[in-house]
Order: sequence, then structure tokens, then C-alpha cells
Amino acid sequence: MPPIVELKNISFAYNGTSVLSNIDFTVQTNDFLALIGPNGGGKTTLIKLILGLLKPSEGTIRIFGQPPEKCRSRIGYLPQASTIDKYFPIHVHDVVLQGCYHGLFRRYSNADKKAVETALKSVDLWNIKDRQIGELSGGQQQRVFLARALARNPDLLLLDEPTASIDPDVKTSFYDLLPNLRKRMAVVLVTHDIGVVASYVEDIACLDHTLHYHGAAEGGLKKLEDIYQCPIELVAHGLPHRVLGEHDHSHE
Amino acid sequence: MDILQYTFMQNALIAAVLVSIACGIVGTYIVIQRLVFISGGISHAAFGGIGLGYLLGINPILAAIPFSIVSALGIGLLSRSGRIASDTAIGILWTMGMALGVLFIGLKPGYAPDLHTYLFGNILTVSTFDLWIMAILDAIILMALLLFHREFFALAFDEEFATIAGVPTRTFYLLLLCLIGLSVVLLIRVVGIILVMALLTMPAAMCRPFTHNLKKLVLASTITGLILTVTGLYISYLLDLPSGATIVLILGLFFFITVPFRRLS
Repeated sequence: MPPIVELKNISFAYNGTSVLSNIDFTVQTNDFLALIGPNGGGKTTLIKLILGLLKPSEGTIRIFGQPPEKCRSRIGYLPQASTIDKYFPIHVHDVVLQGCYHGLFRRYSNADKKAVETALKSVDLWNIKDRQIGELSGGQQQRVFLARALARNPDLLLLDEPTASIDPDVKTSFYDLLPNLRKRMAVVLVTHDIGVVASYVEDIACLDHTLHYHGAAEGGLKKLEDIYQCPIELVAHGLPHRVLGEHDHSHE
Repeated sequence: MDILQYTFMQNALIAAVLVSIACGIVGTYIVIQRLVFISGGISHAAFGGIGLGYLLGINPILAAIPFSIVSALGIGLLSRSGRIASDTAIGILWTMGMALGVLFIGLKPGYAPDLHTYLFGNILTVSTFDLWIMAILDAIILMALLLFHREFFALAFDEEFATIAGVPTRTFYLLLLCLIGLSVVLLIRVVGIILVMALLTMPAAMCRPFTHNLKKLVLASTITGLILTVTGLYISYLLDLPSGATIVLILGLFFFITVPFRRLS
């Protein structure tokens, strides 16, 4: 099965400064991957390259076998902390509906409205569909934007630090939505939240200008601790989950 | 009212209606998308077109139309080129456009014409020909909005996501600026270039806190603009004051009256 995302020898520079160099990165159909790394390491840049919002200085990108701009309809995207005007005259329902945009002169159909309903129900916000977007809490807004990314029934879901602006106790309820979603699509999650995420994802890619590690989460975290290439916000000691097996506490 | 028997007053009232339509639609997008400064730039740059019209001996309003579109595109492209900060780019083209207008007028031999009407407007001198131009511009603006409301709305709310969703955001951003340019030309005869910004922004800004529905906002802005324009027109007639300035001051007065009722930001 060909990978749905294939980056080969990608480099990207901004204003003369190298942001990414020699990246080979793939995502398979059923992946559930966390993309971690320090700020400024190029995580958002990588996402934008996949979306075709940025062009690489070197290398090739193939998404579903095509150039990035051709496949946007198959990708759901939840951008980083939004710069959206909270007083904008738009309701939750219409925010999600914009995810169903099909092109010039094509109205939003009944099928689109059904998709909005499904998406909002999957994030448990159908009951507030008529509220103005600014009236919602940060966590609720992020769920609306997730529903917007889901409205088109994508094959690949890109989430860029979706819980960065959310309170810690609400983060878990956001992440709880993901295991259900990954049954239908590949999920790539950019995050600093390695401790919480470690309970959900299967693979980790560590990005800091180059790809330091890309493989199974199990054992990957221990390796990252040892290498200390990627600063980890919460070192996962003693958390009751499967990612870290028994490991040597002799260094404590 | 006897005054309504006079053609100039009838024309003025029709002009008020035509102007309110453009301001309701375009003004709403200017306010929600924070394009007020850009609109100022486009409106003042349009003066170059007025001057060009005089120099070439054609109706300055007609000359202002293509010049305004070119200014709008220039401002739009330059402010997004990445090399210049957007407000810097706007400020530069704003003043260069006006300066070009003065230059063109100075280049024409003979006495400089009375620019007062174009700078400050005179709704009472609107001719039937002017009304036809205004109606055609209104029709273009209305059609653009009806055909492309999905695109404009998505772009205004979240441009990056709209791009991902497949909206040709750059094209529609430039198209919106061109529509602003057309609205500016529409407004020149009523309030003049200097005061165009007031009519483009105040009705929508006044109505914005009172509704979360875009369609209702456009409608409310149109009606508010119409009522207050006619009120200003009537007061200027009663007290023999300059019409454009009176209309703007009435708008401002009512804007401040509504401020205490606005939700706290």
C-alpha cells in the first residue's frame, strides 16, 4: 500500500535560515502519529508543506500520490492557535459548514448539512450549533474547528497543537475523541503534550530541523529520554499506560 | 413636503438609497474583516482618477472607476507582497494617489476646476447620469455578493482554512478590494472622497454588536445607512449646511449614542 504522505529529501528555508533539512517522512493509511519537537523545530512548517501552503526549497512531496494542492479535499486540517476574530458574526454550524466548501457556484447541499450534523455530533457539540463562535470556551472552539476538519470526511487528519490554548483538565476530553477518529483516517498530531499523547498514539516522529526519530511510541520515549535531542514537557514516569514498559529506574 | 417636488431632491433621495446598498454590503465586509485602513487608502487614492479625468477631459467619475480598481489591486498586491508591512504600503499608495490627482489637475492648462464637489461631495447636485452610474455599480456589487457570498464569507472568517478548503482566496481578496473601489466611486458624489470612509464603515460598525447573523447585519447596515443619510440630508436642507459633512456628523452622533448599548469587548 503506497504511503498517503511521502516527503523525500525535503528542505525548507525562510529568509535564508534553514528550517528543515533533508527530511524523509512518510505517513501510511492507518497511522496514528504524534509529531513532537522543540519550538521552532519545523513542525508547523512540515504540516504546511503537506498542505501545499508552503513550497519546499528542495525535495518532492506526494500526498495520495499527487502534488499537495491537488489533494486538499482529502485532508482535514486543524490549524494552530487560531487568529480568528471571536466577535465574527458566524454560528458554530456555519463554521463547520465551511469545511464542506466544494468550489465556485456550488451551493452547500443537504448532504453537506448532514455531514455538519455528523461532525458536530462526533465532537458532542450539536446542541450548541446556533451559538456564535465567540461565546464558546477555548476547548469548545477547538472541538468546533475539529468538526470543521472532519466535515469533509477526510482520509488524513492534521492537528497542529490542538490543545495548546486549552486547560489541562479539558485536554484529555479532546484527546478522547481521537481513538474513534483514527479508525477512519490517518491522524498526524503536532504537540508538545508528550505525556498525555503517549497514551493514545502509536508512532512518534521527533522533528528538530531534521527527523531525529520516527517509529513506534513504545520504546521511542525511552530512547528520546536517553538522547535528549527533543525536550519533553512531561517525562512519562509511572503513568498507567502501555507506552513505557518496565524500565530501569537506576538513574533516579 | 414641497421639497420632494424638486428633481434635485428626488435625485438626492435616490442617491441616498443607492449609496446605502453599497455601504450595507461592502461596509459590512470592511468592518468584519478589518479593512478600514485599506478602504481609506483606496478611497483617497481614487482622487488620482478624478484628476486624470479632468486632464483627459472626460467625466471625472468615469475616469475614477478604472483608476480606483487599479489602486485597489495595487494596494492589495503591495500590502501582501511580504516585503513591505501592509499598513506602510497602504499609507504610501494612499498619499501617492492623491498627489497624482493634484498633479494631473495642475498639468491641465487653464484655471484649476472647483474640486470641492469631489473632495467633500454634494448630494444635491447629483444628476440623472450620476444615478445611472451609481445604479450600475450597485448592480455589480450586488451580483458579486450574491454569486460569491460563500467565498467572501469563508475568506473573511479564516483565510488560511478557506485556502485549504479550496477557495481561491487571493483572487477573492483582490475582488473584494475592487468592490470597495467601486463603492468609493459610488460615494464620491454624495460625501466626497475625504469622507467616503465614514459611510463605508459607520453603518456596519453601528449595527455589528447587535447581531451575529451576517445577512441580518448587511440588511441592518443598509437600512441604518439609509435612514441616517436621509436624516442628515434633511437636516442639511433645513439648516442650509453642507450636505456631505452633515450626513457624516449625523452618522457619528448616532454611532456614539449606540455605544453604551454595545456589549463590552
